Formats: sequence, structure tokens, C-alpha cells
Amino acid sequence: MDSSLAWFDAILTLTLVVVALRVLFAQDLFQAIVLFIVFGLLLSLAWCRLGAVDVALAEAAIGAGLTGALFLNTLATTRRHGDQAPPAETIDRKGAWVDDKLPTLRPRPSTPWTGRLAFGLVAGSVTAWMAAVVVPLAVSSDAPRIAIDEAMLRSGVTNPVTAVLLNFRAYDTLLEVAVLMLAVLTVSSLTAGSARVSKALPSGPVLTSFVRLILPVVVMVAVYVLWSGTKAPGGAFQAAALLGAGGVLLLVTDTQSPSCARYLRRVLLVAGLAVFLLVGLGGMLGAGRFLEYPPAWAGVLITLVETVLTVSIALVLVMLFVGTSPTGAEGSARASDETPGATPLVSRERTS
Amino acid sequence: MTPTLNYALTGVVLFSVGLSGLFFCAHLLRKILSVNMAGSGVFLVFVALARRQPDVPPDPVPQALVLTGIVVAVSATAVALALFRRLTHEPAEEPHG
Repeated sequence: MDSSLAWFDAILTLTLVVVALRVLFAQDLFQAIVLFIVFGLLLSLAWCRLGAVDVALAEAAIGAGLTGALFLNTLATTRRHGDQAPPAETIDRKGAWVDDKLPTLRPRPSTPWTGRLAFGLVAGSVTAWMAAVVVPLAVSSDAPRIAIDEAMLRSGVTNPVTAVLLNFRAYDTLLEVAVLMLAVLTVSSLTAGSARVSKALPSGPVLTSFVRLILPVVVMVAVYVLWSGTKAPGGAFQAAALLGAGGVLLLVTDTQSPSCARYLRRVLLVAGLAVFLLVGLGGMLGAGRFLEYPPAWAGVLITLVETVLTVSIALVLVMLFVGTSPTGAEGSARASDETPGATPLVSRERTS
Repeated sequence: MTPTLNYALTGVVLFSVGLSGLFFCAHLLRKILSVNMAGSGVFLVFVALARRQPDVPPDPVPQALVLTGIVVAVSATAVALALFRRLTHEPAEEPHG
């Protein structure tokens, strides 16, 4: 193997571990979250090294971008309203809540040294045990690879990851979309009762013009990623992540953006799951089994499902962001009446 | 050391780091960050094991599973953060209204 690549791998994995430890040890929570975003970006480099470009695309947009935005959003909430400390016993017995200078990995003062030693031993032995399980798997070359290559010919697409996601294991993906719906429902119901109205985030002219410039590009790239997903790395989740990130950008800059009717947003939200289910039921009528596509139609059906899924998942991601928004009730008011930016963005994508 | 072994072992270490953070960090936000990191460790093991033979294309099934996992992880994180927000702000707001 190329020795420079081996060096690259070694440095990258070492950096990953160091950054992960820094996330736990960093004094400031803001710093920890930014380090977590860095961690996600480094991880997407690792996915590229392992030949998982689809995963790298999703990680860069969701794992690093959107998750980081969710955390920063929540942190802003804490910073803004959290000065009068919440009931300490629900958070931390030592009242470490009030400032963000937290004991981090240092055990709570109440933990005796024996407890720390015991935890260290347990953590060490769990790590060693997992390594002992993983190493033989990693060095064996007779990988139990499922025979996918011949099935690929009938799958309707040429990107194996898309074939697995939307054809061979479409059931998993269907349930995943259902999980996303459940998450949106939970987040919306958790934030609906909040009565505090706060001001929107201030946005300067530089940010506003940047968003105006970047959003069309985001939409175009998302459509490209969606379209190329049938034959190259890309697909519904990656495109949705891009669109969702664009929607979040629009939300935080608070540029005036056309809103859309409440029912339309709801329809778009469930459209992915509904179309996926209908296609599955159609397969039951046509080919005999749930989610089985007739080979001649597989490509068309997969593209249809992916397009609608992109719209729905993008909307889900934006609404998840709204749910953790520091603008509190304003955010949930948007969630229940209108989501400026998010829906027009996706409808534009849908018509293109 | 092959890349597969390198990344798989890193995944194991990251899982342990995340688990330790979950147990030892006091702040709930940091606990949620730790769970995310532990999940990333699991993903890393999966994707590394998908590429055991360097000369053939990687196995797409674990990759698709990880792709699914990333999306589920972000939704679970959003639910956790919404719960966190509720936990921290609801009691403080009660006196006002």
C-alpha cells in the first residue's frame, strides 16, 4: 500500500480521536460544539478514504452542518434565557449549570476515586473487548459479501448504495422516513406550548447578500445530487440535506421570504412517506410483494420516490431546526402557521 | 496496518470516548454530543468493515445502513435537544405566565 496514504490515514484517525477528546474536555460549550463540527468534517474525509462517498456527502451536510446548527441553536437558547438558573437538581447536583465552565470529563466532585477507578477499568475493558471483536473481522479477507452485483442489473439504477436504499432494502428506508415523521411530531409538540417571544437573529447586509447568492447554487447542487444519485454517489438524503441546510440558512438570516399555506406544508411533509407507501402497495398489486418493483419500471419508480422524499426530508430537517430554535414561540408559531423560506425553497426545487 | 483495521479500531476508540462522555460529562448538551460521537464510532466500524478487500468496490449494504443511521441520528438529536430545551426553560417560565 502507498505509504503516504498510510501516513494520511494514521494522522486522520489520530486527529479524530484527539478532536473527540477535546469535545469532552473543552472548557466552553461553544468551543465543544465547534469542535464537534470539525469532528464531523474530519469524519467525512474518513468516509472518502473508505470509499463511501455517499456517506461522506451526507455526513458533511447533516452530521457536521445540520447537527452543529441544532446544537448552536440550543446553546443560544441556554445563553439567552439561562441566566436565571433552572432548577439545579434536574440538571446537575452541583449547580454547574449556571456557567458553561463545566467539570467536563473530570468526574463530579461527589464521585470518589474508587468510582473513577472502577469506571476507568470498565471503560478500558469494554474498549479492549470491542477491539478484540473487531480486529478479526477487519483482518479476515473472506468478507460475507451479499451477492449484489447480479441483482444490480435488475435494480433500475447503477449506484449500488441507491439500489440498496431504495430497492433491496427499501423497507428500512420506508421505516426511516416514518421515524423522521415521528421526530418532527415529537419536536413540534414539545415546542408548541412555549409562550416566550424573542427577537429574530440580527443579520447584516453581508450575510443577507451571501445567502441570496448561495441559495440558488444550493438548490442547483441539490437537484444535481438528486439526479445523479441513480448512477453516481448522491441521492435523496444527500440532496435533502443540502436543501434543508439552505432552508436553515434562510431561517437564521431572516430575510423576508414568501410563506406558504399551512396545509401545503403538511402535504409536502407527508408526501414522501405517502408516495413511498403507494409505490410499495403498487408493487404488491403488480409484482406480488410489498415494495417490489417491476424491473422495467424500477428506475422510474426509484427516481419518483427519491424526488418526493427529497422534498419531504428537507422540510423535516428545517422543521427539526425550527423546533430547537432560540426564537422560541416565534419559531413554533412559524412551525404552526408558516415556515418562511423552507417551503418555497423546496417547491421551487420540485418544479425544476 | 491496513486502512480497514486502522479505521475500525478508531471507531472502537471513538465509541469508548463517547460512552465515557455520556457517563462523566455533567452538562446535558455535552452528553448529547457524546452520544453522537459514540454513534459516529459505530458508523466508522461499519464502513471500515465494508471495505475489507481493497481491490474490489466496497460493500454497499453497510454504507446504506450508515446513511440511514446518520439521518436517524440527526432526528434523534433534534428530539433530545427539544427535550433539553423544555427541561431547562419550562420551569423558569412558569412564574411569568
